[in-house]
Amino acid sequence: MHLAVLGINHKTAPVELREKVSLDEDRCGTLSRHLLDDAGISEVVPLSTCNRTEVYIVASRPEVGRREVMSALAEISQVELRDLEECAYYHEGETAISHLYRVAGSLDSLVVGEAQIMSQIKEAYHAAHKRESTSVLLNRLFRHALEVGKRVRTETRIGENPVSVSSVAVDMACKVFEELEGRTALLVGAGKMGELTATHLVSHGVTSFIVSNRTLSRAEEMAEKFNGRAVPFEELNDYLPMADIVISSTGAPHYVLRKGEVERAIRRRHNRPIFFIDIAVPRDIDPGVNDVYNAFLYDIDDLNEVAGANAAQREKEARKAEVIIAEEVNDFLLWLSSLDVVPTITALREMADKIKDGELEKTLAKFDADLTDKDINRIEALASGIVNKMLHSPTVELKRAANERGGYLYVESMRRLFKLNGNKRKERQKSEHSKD
Amino acid sequence: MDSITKIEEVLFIAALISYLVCSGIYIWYLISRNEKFVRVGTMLLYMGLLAQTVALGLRWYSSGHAPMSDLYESLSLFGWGIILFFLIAQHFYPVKAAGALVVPTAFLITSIAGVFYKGPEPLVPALQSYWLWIHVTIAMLSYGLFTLSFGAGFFYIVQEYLLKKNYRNVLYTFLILLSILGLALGFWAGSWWAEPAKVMDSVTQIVSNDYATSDYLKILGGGVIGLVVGCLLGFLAGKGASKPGFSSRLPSLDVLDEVSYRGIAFGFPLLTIGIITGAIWADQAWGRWWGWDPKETWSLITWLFYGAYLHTRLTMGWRGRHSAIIAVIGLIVVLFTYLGVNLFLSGLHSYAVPA
Repeated sequence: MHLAVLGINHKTAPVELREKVSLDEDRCGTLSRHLLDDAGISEVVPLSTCNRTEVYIVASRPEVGRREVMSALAEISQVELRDLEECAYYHEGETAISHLYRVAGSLDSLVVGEAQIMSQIKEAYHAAHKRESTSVLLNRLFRHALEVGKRVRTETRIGENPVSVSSVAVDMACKVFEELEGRTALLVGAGKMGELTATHLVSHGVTSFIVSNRTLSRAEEMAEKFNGRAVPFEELNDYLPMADIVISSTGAPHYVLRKGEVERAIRRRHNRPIFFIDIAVPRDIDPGVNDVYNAFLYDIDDLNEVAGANAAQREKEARKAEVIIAEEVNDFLLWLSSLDVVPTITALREMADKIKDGELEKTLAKFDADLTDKDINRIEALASGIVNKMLHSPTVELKRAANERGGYLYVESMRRLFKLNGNKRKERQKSEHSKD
Repeated sequence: MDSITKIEEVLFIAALISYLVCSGIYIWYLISRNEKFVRVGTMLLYMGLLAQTVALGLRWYSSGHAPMSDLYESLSLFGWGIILFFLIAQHFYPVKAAGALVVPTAFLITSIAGVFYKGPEPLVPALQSYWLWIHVTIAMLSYGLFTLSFGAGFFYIVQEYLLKKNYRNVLYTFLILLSILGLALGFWAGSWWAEPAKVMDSVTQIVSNDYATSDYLKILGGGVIGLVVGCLLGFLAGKGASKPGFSSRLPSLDVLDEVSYRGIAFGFPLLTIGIITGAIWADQAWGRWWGWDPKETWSLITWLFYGAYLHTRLTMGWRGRHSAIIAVIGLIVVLFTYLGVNLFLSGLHSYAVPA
């Protein structure tokens, strides 16, 4: 039995392909049923998010598993097999395990440290569990992966500080205002960046928007989007005292907001703070505004600096996370190999004894009745002695390998060399699944 | 009687130790933001508070009067009030990080109480009045609230500074300020080392050759050690604070301003009542309402100070840094009113000076 994963993600496949290969609940079900019908595959967990589609399997022969999953995936999502093969990656054994752990720890994500992936893995696993397409191996693997993801999040600060300019802006605003809910934001200029930041504000609960732009029609357009109201650019200063957060992104070549106006606005607000975000280049807001009592000004450089510092921090945390993951992969491999060694040794002994008994029977039959009991005992002792001596060192080696990293390779080789059919149990389980 | 005193002592020390450990935990929280760990700290703080409550109760029982007659008792009550109000504030506002200053302050005040520990004694005649516990309890509770305001105000100033500077060049500020603080505390600790009984003596006595030469060396040594430790901590704190991630561990300006204001908004009426009850008591005991005794004068100054805070805030719309600065200086005035007057100035309230 081999753990393996086949998939595509944002690093290997363009968005057009990812869109097509993405799996919803129905498709996951179809895919699982399809794969489990195949004799070589005993467990399946499909994982599909907007940045990745991956299928985790347990297969008796990894090459067959790869082929099967590839063609099934191409068939279900109706893409050319060749296109898929070009972008897909395939990992087996240790690398497959470490891949899942890295995904769970969000190290493989587009934005390292993002939090969503954990719940996505959880959902994918629970759905597969409900479908009864999982068994001992993948159950253990996915539960372990969720623990690993949790460990990465709690033991490192990988998800702590935002790394995009607009989320940094919102994060900074949250250091001034405890809650953004119910606050008023004033958008000066109707640029793309301003809009993006405003969207972030909406997701943090800001509901009241005022939009001011040199061309009023554009302001109205934007105001409609955010359910706010548009005001003429000339009256900007009259609306300034109402704003808790000001986002400026005009294309004006000179300052749109000056120190004196801001001072007046804050006074009219009875010193309640205003948070200014200036994402325009050249700048819209006089840098002197930051010196105004209870005014806080961040321009694009400030925000970039913070975002950069945060990203560097995440990189550092990611390295810590890699150590955790390596540790956990080792743990899982240990479990995996210990799982295998004992039945393998038993199977090996059973096989040897069967051969020995068969050969003894054949040989003894040839001697008619001219052997005394004593002679028979001697011959049997000889046969047993040979078998035991032969098996002694492989048995010892296997047991030792059980506690070593990569020990499952010994077990695998042993099973292949002696054709120990240890997959019967799995196949039986699988046929029970397909009956349900 | 004796065994009760023993239990009281043990409980007081237990509370003191828990405050010390919690100081460490809350400071560590500021550095690591480890929520699990600080939850243990909060539990420990509750337990410490409980132990101190029982200790104060036992003291009340064994001495036969409310535990507010000497410096040990009232300081212990002061520390108790700080922890109580901090736990209440922490329950209602996300201000755990402020514990990094408030809890150590409470520990410091409670440990000073320990320095002045005395067994239970019957009241001196001048204090034998039910006004004692009304007057002192109310005053101490208001002090506890002011300490909370101080902690929140202090972190307001730090957080605002970091936000205004966008974390640039903040290392030197931390380095210089903490070095100075370390130096001052080092001198203080050194003078303790030299002559524990004179720790609370005025500066004039140190200058006027009251100490032996070796004692001066000890004081100097304390100062040097304090300076080095302060430098080191300043460097670490400054390094940490230059990372934008740091101030996400501090509460938002909004919450800090609110908590600082609330502390004073509740503390000021209590202080007012404390002064009025004091005046009534003074009228009964000494036959006059007000006599410009140093304690009376200084509590009036404290009252005016916090009155100014509320006045500027409510009628002039002050908030933010200016208010926070008043809240921070306010506690220094409170401490002087409370300790300074008793220890350095002579007057009718000086009964509390250790014999």
